[in-house]
Amino acid sequence: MKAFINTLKIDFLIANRNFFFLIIIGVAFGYVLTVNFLVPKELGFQNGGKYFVDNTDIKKPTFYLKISGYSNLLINNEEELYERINSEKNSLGIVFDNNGGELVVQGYESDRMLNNMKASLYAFETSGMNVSENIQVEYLNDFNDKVPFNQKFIPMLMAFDILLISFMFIPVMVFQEKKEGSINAYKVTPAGSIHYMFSKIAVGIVLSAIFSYIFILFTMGANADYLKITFYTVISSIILSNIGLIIAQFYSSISEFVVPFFLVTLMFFLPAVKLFSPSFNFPGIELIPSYPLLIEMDKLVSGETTAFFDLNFWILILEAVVILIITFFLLKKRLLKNR
Amino acid sequence: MIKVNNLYHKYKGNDVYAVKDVGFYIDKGEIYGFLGPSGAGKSTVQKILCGILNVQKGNVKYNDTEIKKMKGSFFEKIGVSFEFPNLYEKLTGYENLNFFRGLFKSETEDPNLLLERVGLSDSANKKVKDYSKGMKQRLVFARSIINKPEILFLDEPLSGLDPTTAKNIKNIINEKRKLGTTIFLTTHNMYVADELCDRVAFLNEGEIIASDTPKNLKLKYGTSSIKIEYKTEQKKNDELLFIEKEEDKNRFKEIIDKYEIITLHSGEATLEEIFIKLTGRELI
Repeated sequence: MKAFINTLKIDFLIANRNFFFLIIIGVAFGYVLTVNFLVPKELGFQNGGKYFVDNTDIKKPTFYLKISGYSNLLINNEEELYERINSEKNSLGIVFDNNGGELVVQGYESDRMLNNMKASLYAFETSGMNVSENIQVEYLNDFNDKVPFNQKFIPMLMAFDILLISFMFIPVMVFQEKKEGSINAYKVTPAGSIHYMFSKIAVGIVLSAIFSYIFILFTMGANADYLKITFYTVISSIILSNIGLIIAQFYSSISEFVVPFFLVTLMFFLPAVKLFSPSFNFPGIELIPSYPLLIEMDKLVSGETTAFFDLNFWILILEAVVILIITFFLLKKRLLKNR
Repeated sequence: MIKVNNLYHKYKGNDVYAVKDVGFYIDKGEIYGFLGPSGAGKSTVQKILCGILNVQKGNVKYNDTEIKKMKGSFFEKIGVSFEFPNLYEKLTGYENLNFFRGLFKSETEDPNLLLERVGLSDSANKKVKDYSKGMKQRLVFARSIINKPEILFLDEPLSGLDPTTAKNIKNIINEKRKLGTTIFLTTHNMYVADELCDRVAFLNEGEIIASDTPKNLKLKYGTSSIKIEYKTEQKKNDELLFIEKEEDKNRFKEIIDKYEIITLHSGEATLEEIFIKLTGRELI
């Protein structure tokens, strides 16, 4: 235990002297500023499309759109309308019928925005149609209505930063030890692979946790589910630190590490595509460690309550156990031969 | 204490053995020197002895126990000073020693005392990246004895050190021997080997070609030599010639006849001269 604590102390000291903690805190606050002030809380429709279907007998909406020069916004039927606004994530649709109409929205629009939309249909009411009073709202996606648009970036930013912290900083420390040769001096001490491995993982976990807590506290506030956030941060960091430790053994410098780094980053990015475009899918995407993290963070952001020990939990636990075993044996066989 | 038999080692991707049929023993409290030029296989043998490289063929025994069967406790007993400084550059000298000290369960030295002994107390709180090569070498040596090892592996421990510091380190090595530490020293410096070692082995192209005390080696292989310095048209040259060898005798005559002699010295054979005589190679 004394040797492990000693190794841990030195790894934290070296991480600190490499400014890892400062970098993490800086990046976390950078993300906080981006989410809170640069990304809008509501997605405006000024630039997004508004599409119309006219199912009324007298076709007055068609008439108004034509004389206003917007006949290109008319869609033939509801099926085509749904298809169109599903493919354009900042668009909405309005279906007019004899009794009023239906506002088809993405699901993340605020109540204020929907009320504004209804009020803007006043023109049709004055023309003898009772649209604004009888209009129904149809949500394409269930975003619980309450999630501000800027918070939808939180899962992706969080998953990516944990990836960068654990998968980049840990190999950087290994490359540094290889370059200065200190790893060879470590090999001829009684401290073995277990100490080495868990010490590096601990650095990854603490860095990731610092990032997660700052980022979540200043974007979602103090009422977020910190137990779940802690678990998913820790387990994701364990998996990614280990992947970093495994790959770092086959390379000797950060410049050689660039190619595997980008390949792994690309792989971890794929679940984020699925998050924003649910139709994107391929077999096994759920097994990519960033997937459960993204999904669980997305549920947290949208306020969806799910069981703690769900499938994502067990997938990550299993992956962590498997990768810990692989890392341990590889460390013994390669980096810390015979130890 | 240490017994090595029929040791062979081949590196991956290389058909030639780096170490071939090496065998020797080292008694407790003895300094055993491995003398050979760069690439002779000295460091490979040291790496096998201290467990960094696997034994591929042959065997290495510590007190009759195979090194393969030694557990982590083996590393409690050994100290290793590498040829090239391998320190945590972002840590200070003190932090480096203190870190390694904390990895051992056994009794250890006080890092401050060790720093003082190797003349680094003024730089104890300076980051290692700002140390000179000699300072790093001293720190690596200090680190190798932090755990009061029973067996000490020293790879070129005096390389790059000024004479005063080198003398200081030699004193520490001798003190350790007196305390019963077994020392395996690899070097290409014949003076270091002659001065420090109880016995030496000459290693050439992975093989031991001779092994004995420096005195016995000199008696067995040493012949009087002549170092001759002469002037050709463009530059000064010097050569070491062994008079008992016919070709050297002829060469001596040729130089006397053809060139202007500057100096001429006769002397007792040194370990280097014996090595050259046995291998035809210099200890570089």
